[in-house]
Amino acid sequence: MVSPILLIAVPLILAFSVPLWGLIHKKLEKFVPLIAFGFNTYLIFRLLPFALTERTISVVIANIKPPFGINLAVGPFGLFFALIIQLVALATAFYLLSYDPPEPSDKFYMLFILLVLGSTGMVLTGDIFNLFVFLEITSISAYALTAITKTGPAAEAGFKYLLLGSLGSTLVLLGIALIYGSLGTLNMAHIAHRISGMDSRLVVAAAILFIVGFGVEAEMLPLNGWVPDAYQAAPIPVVALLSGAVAKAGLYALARVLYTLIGMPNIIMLLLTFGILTMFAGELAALRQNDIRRLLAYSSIGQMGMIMLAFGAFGVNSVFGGVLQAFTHGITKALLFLVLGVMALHTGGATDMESLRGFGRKFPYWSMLFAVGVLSTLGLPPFAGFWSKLALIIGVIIDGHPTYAALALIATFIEVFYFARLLSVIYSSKLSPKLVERSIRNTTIPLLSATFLAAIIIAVGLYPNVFFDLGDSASRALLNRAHYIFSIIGHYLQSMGGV
Amino acid sequence: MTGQILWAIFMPILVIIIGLIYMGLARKITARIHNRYGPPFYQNIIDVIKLFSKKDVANHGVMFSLGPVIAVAGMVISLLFIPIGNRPLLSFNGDIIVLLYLLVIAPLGMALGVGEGANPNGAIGIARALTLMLGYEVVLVIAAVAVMIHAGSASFMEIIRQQQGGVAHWFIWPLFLSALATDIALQAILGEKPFDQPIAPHEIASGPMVEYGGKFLGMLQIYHAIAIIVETGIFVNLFLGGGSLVWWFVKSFAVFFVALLINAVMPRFRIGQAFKFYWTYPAAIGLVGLIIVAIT
Amino acid sequence: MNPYELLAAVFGLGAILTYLLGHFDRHLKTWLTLITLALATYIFLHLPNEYSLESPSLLFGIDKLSWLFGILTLGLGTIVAFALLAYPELSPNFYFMFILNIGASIFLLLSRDLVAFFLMWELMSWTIFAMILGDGGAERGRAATKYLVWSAIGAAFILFAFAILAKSTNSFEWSGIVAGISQMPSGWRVAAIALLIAGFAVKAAIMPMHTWVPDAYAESPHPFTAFLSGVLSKLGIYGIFLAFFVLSARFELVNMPKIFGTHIFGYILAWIGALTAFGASLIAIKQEHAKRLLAWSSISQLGYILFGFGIGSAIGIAGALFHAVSHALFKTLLFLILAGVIKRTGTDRMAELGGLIKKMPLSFIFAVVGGLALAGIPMTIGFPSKWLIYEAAIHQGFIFTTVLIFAASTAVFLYYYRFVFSIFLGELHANHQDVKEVPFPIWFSYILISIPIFWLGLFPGKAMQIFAEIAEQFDLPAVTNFTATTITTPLGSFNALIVGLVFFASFAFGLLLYFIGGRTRKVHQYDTFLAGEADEPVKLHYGQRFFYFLERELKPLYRISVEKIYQFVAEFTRFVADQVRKGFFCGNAQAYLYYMTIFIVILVFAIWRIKL
Repeated sequence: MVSPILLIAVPLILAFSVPLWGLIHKKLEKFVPLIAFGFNTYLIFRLLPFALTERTISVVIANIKPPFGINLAVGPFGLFFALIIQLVALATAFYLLSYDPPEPSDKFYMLFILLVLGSTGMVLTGDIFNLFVFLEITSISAYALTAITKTGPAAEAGFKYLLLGSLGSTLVLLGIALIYGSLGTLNMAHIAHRISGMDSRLVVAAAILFIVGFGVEAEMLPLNGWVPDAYQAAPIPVVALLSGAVAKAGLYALARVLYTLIGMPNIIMLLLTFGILTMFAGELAALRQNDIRRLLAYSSIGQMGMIMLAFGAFGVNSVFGGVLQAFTHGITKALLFLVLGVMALHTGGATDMESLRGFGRKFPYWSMLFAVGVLSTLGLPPFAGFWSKLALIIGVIIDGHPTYAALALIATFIEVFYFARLLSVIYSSKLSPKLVERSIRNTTIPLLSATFLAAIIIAVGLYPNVFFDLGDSASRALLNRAHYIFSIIGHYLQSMGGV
Repeated sequence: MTGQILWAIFMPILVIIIGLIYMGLARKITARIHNRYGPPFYQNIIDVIKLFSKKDVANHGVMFSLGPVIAVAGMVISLLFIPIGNRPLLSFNGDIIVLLYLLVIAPLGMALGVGEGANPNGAIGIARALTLMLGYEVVLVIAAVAVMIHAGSASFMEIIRQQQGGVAHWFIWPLFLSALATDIALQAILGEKPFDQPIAPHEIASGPMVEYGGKFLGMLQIYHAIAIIVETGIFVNLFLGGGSLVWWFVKSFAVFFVALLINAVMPRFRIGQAFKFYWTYPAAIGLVGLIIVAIT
Repeated sequence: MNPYELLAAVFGLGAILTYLLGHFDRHLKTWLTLITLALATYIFLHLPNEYSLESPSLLFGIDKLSWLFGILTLGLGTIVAFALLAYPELSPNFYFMFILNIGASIFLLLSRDLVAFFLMWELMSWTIFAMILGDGGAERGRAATKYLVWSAIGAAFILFAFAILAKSTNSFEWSGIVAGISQMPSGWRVAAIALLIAGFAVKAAIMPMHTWVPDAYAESPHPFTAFLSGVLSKLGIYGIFLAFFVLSARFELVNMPKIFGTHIFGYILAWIGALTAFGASLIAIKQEHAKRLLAWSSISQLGYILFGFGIGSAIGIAGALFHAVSHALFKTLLFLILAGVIKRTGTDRMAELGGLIKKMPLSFIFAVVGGLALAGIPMTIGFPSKWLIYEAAIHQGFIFTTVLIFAASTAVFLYYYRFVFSIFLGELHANHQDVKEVPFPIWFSYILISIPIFWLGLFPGKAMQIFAEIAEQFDLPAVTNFTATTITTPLGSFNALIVGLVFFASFAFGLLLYFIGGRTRKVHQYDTFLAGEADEPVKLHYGQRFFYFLERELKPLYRISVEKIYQFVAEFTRFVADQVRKGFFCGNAQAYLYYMTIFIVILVFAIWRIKL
């Protein structure tokens, strides 16, 4: 079996090799992310069968066994999220091939790879300090990439992100410190095993710190003020990653910490309230938006809120729905942003609705891709979004929270409204004056990239069974704390005299 | 069976003649009320014969010409579904509700014909007729439902059967309010003042009949003749116990006479007033009657 | 290959092929659509009873009810598709959605479990959105958006109700739910069924879920409106039938009060249906646009059907199902005729039309046919259905609602006459002197639809047979006292064929009188009225504000409008949205940090409360 550590090691090496390639030829730089994530995706697919077996593999690093050494805990839950991240990364990396990078280009590609690497690391690690490290790698890459175009709005957006993000990371560190101070270990499984021995007030304090800290990345209200600005100012491929990969990693961290480490249902159920509040805030704010980028950003917040709500319901069915929705949302939002990027090329950079009026008449194929994304977000068949939303709502109701499900459904009415309005503008009979058939560079590559994502959405929509199996293992794994602890440090506990 | 068919052919002709006589009598009686002599009672029969013998009549198209044909046809078929003189003819093949809808065929056909005539007076007349219909139909239904609930059936013969055995058995006594409401509705159905807005000779030049002359007008007169018998006949069958042939027509004329008297002395409502009237007072009367029936 | 899979493949491939090849020839896409539908109909008629798909696990099956609605969908869909031959300007996109929509509708009718049903429902719903959107345009966009939001609301109700049912009965399949529903606590059971009906009511245009209908019908591509009104609204009716009669297990074991022997739930439904019928028909009277008039008419007629279901007796159910069938037929016909008129004249504003009987006589004839059916004149299919509903209502003691229904029925005469007069009768508009009759595909489709209108009007027993079988299948009271031409109820009987034959005899009598009278001479319209004394065209058409005197009297009634509530809700939501955006996403970094701090404080309090 291939070692999952390669998922992190290979991109890391390739990241730092980018300038070297650049020395040979400038054009070679842009292929590096593609190689890195192509490899990663291949690796993930090799590892998928293990995700279906509900086992958690512990990958030991430097031969120091947990709970003393750092380890990767590659379980169904982590692998599922890693899959999401890699697919989005692959599509975006492919998109990069025809994208004009902002200068300095080598640093851009490097940061790009690091961003994904950090997210992947976050979802695969079994050590909490390691989690923090990867969080920092992700965040800092994100801050830099947001501001990389060096324009005024970009700098401002990057600054806001930096402010909130670093405060969040600090809080996470504080939480880790609290735990280490009480329990003396940094291994997540060990912490999970020992947490009942910790003073409950300290546990609560740590929980709060983690929620706020990871909540920034996971776009929870009221920590998501940075999202609209960042999504508007960052380069399109970066935005796709932010929405599709980084937010998911943040969510993963939140879920892992609350479910596995802390494991207090009362605290987890707080996510119900904050999830629904996030969802409403996101959808309502999107309602009044005319700029499509910001609209999609708010929609992203809304969807993340819905996923959080599902995780807050603390039941196998709702987590199942949440996990599926995370997948769908990641892929779909990436698709929407990538297509929007191409649309913007045709209007000279403008992304407001009026400039794109009538786009559907002139560019039917691109609009179809966009429509696929929109319909999947709205949860309509035969797209993946249908299954994930269905599973989520039914799961939340079955697990005993019908009111929250009802509220979530009400929030989706708003979503339907503004997306329907958006589609009718795109397919309008009037043509925006800004839409010129510019002789831009060949758009085949973005086309393939977007089609790849759309194909996943449609394929999953028509044949969701594998999807369901993956989601099922993932949700069971998350809820199965004992199994997690046992797989990672079982041998250690046995050697210490009984589990 | 042959007796039925013969009666089916003979009766409409009989009814036409009697209807025209009713119309003639109406003119005579109205004249007397107005302190005039009035034409002879058989005047309308002469009018019809005269109209049919006119040459060079104008028509405005096929639908226009078919209008009066359908009007007559619709009325004849309605006639055949009402028991007259307690002879059922076709009544077992259709009940009150069927009849109410059959009654619509005639005015509808005529309205389509008038439409092709393209005379705005005609169209206004039809619009008024329809509005009035919305008014009185509601009242009629309220009363009819009361009768149906009281009798437990919608079949004419059954309703008549329950009223056999003398005046005391007539439905008009237990269902007095419904009968009253029906009679008020009948005023509009017959097109008598104060509810003759569709015709309104002074306002819209006879409304629907404005473009029809010669044999068309003759057919419309025949239509009106049958209509009088049919409409008063409904009242007779529902509330006055039907009756043998002669008595039936006597009762029918009695009902017509009441309508006639009101027509002779009253002016005309505005169409809006008429509509509002129907949906308030007679409807209320009918509803009270209906509730009483429903409770008992 | 399993027939169900074959059916799905036919629809899927048909849609894709039509889209791809449709660009090559103007009529190819329509022919491909027709072939697809023909194949589908053939397979549909030969489907075996049950089928289950493995991955994902979905269950399908066919029974009499599905068969009835399925034939209606495929039959009318094919006829409409044939009429589309005269509309080559519709894009291949449209045909793609059209085929997908029919496919989803058929499989919806075949679904036997929640997930399959909901999947097909959603697929059917958004394809309608795409078809309403059509070529785009500001008004169309608004109408389509309104439709989709309402559709989402309905779907949310349905989903929520399904989830409750699945959770309580531990089963996702119809059979499981029916078996388990009697174990549910009665409050939840009633709530679930009520939610389901409310959800389906959106599609079935029952008040107060009807506000999307006038706009959507008015703005959608004209031949499509025929299909939307005729067929797709019936899917909502199917859903209501399913919810109220099948899934609810007839509320037998529930101790609910009865009024005059009717279950209170049914009583409420009957009132909603009657009010819908009455209110919508009054609003139809004052419309100035023909499409909107027919849209409100549809809402009204669908109210009838709900009324019949609410009564719940054998005649009531049969009448309601019959009315569903007859409305599908005559509404499709009327909308197709209107589409033809708009095609030739470019407008549906009744003040601008008129006199088209001279140029489009065929359309006029069929408009009369459709109108006779709409008005419920005996000899057409419209009458037996209405008759059954009235009989059912009076028999069960529904007095006030019967009056409302009857008033609605009388109102039909009003707006129908307005419709026919303003378009076909009266004076020919100066602009329309060169208008031609509609092309062959359209008037041939008129004929096709008119055949069952008369056939079932004269031989209603054929239809009664199917309704009786449906009722028996679901253990509902069934009407048995009927022959091919007669129906008998406890109140009275009706022989359709005799009525038809006698009418012909009477008509002969009328013709006899006509021929007695001698020849007539065709004259110009101005001849008698203006004594032939006009030079230029004089506008003599009474086309505007036809019932103004009536509208004046009905003003207080017209003020009641549920649309105002929805407007208010929309305004309020917009307001809140603005506040949210300005508050939470103000763009001020310091503010965000404040929020973060406050959040921590809130969390502390929240957890403190929970733990303590």
